[in-house]
Amino acid sequence: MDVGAPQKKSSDLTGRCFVHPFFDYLLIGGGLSLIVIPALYWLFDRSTMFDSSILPWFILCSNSAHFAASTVRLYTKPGTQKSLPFLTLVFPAVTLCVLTLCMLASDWIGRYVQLIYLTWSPYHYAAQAYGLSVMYSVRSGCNLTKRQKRALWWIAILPFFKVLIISLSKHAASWTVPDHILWSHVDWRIWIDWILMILGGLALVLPILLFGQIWRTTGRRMPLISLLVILTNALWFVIFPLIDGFVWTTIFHGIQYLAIVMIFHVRDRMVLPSNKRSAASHAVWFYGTSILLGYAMFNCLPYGYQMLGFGAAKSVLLVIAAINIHHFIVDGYIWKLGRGDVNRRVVESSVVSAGQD
Amino acid sequence: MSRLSQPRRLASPSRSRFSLVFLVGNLIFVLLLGGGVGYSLHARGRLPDVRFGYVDSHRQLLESGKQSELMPDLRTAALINFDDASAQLQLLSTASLLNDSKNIAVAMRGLLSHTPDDAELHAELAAVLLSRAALDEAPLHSSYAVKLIPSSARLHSIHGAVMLAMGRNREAASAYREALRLAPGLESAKQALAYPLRDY
Repeated sequence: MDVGAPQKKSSDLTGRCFVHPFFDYLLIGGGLSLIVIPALYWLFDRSTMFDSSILPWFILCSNSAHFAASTVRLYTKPGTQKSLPFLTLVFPAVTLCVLTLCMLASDWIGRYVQLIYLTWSPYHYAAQAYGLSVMYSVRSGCNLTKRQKRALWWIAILPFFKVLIISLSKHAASWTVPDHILWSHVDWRIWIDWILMILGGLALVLPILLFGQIWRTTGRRMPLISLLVILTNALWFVIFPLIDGFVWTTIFHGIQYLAIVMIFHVRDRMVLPSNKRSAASHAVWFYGTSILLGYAMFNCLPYGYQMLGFGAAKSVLLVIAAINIHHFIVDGYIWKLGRGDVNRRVVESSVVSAGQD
Repeated sequence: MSRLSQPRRLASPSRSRFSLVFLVGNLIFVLLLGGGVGYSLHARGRLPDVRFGYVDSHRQLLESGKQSELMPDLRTAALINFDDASAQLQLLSTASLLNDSKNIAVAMRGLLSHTPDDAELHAELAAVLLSRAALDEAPLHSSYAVKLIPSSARLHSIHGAVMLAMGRNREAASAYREALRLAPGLESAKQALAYPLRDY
């Protein structure tokens, strides 16, 4: 893994990758999903795929590990204990307390916790796609204007709005809307279906249009990976039924996250004066720790609550929700790119300046 | 410079309080993890599986005939895991075995959020609500079922029964007549129109 040595200039379209275009495009850009998912659907039956004994291992190594990775990053990123004392020292205990309280009142609060986590998830995935898209643009010398970033943001979160409308109209509506409206003879669901179709179409078309517009108006090209990462996130939620979309998104978002977080971790470690280990060694340590912590959180912690007398279902479901929400909150802080933040140094290392073509 | 990127220096008492909370939090976390591993070894004879979830433990209880013991957890699973139709299906299946109409209704309502245009499901739910004397909700579902499949005699018959239970005899008679028109041999409709709806 290249860790910051001077890099050759890449073409505008390929962009300035962190490791190698092959690696960045497949793992961080989400290109791997465009190969794996069609192959699996073509070779296997859908039910076989989801019942496969290999799926839990895949989930542990990508999904569970990625949730744990944000916690590992929080405690290994230089300076976080000083800059984020509440998040590092107090927030884990707060999360455990809130989780335990939710266990006690699960029958009435459980579904709202589930709704929060399920609607926050696609927002989080979209926000990550946006962040990566902008990051690669910056690294590749394509400095987006505020207006372009704002447009990119709204385009990136279109899949989130699609999922939000589905969740609210399918499930939350039945909790809040009076039955005589919910089951009236007015066919309001057909309007929801139309809105979803429009949102899905926009989510796939608008990124390409924006890419073209930036190229046409500024003369500079966003790297293709910036477009790819937005499109793959949209594809996962637009093409597939919602449950499938969630499964694929969590797997490939997990892979994407693990790749980028390990790059940042390794680069932070390698520049330390006291460092004596190789990049590969740092990567293996980080990933191994993430897998172990992921196994502990997802697979062992629910049994801890069952030991205390809580049922299996609420133990598993609420622990999953709590881990997700904890991850979303932590992620909102550890990826800041403010001046002086170590993340900024990693992003800006070997950035191509505008005009150096 | 963003507020978050500025290093914040905590005063010593705050820092030591935060550190104490951190230590206590970690201790509780480790105890829960250790307890969880121990519980899994004790209850299942092995470490927690890589395949996490509650379905396997539910399946074990079902296979050992402990359906009634499992019902509260199945209901919780269906309520929390509202986006997973299999949780509601499992609740429906087990509640039907135990003739638990309250949880049958919970399961059916959950399933309707996945398939809102399932006329048979609406009609079944109406029948269950009728058995529970939930007369405010039952007619909404029976009339919605008829709207979805107006050519089904059975659905009209169920709607007729709901109207009859509510004392809306004219509407009940109309529904039963429509059912008989669609299926002239339908006994439930014939009996209802012979008595108690003979005057409508």
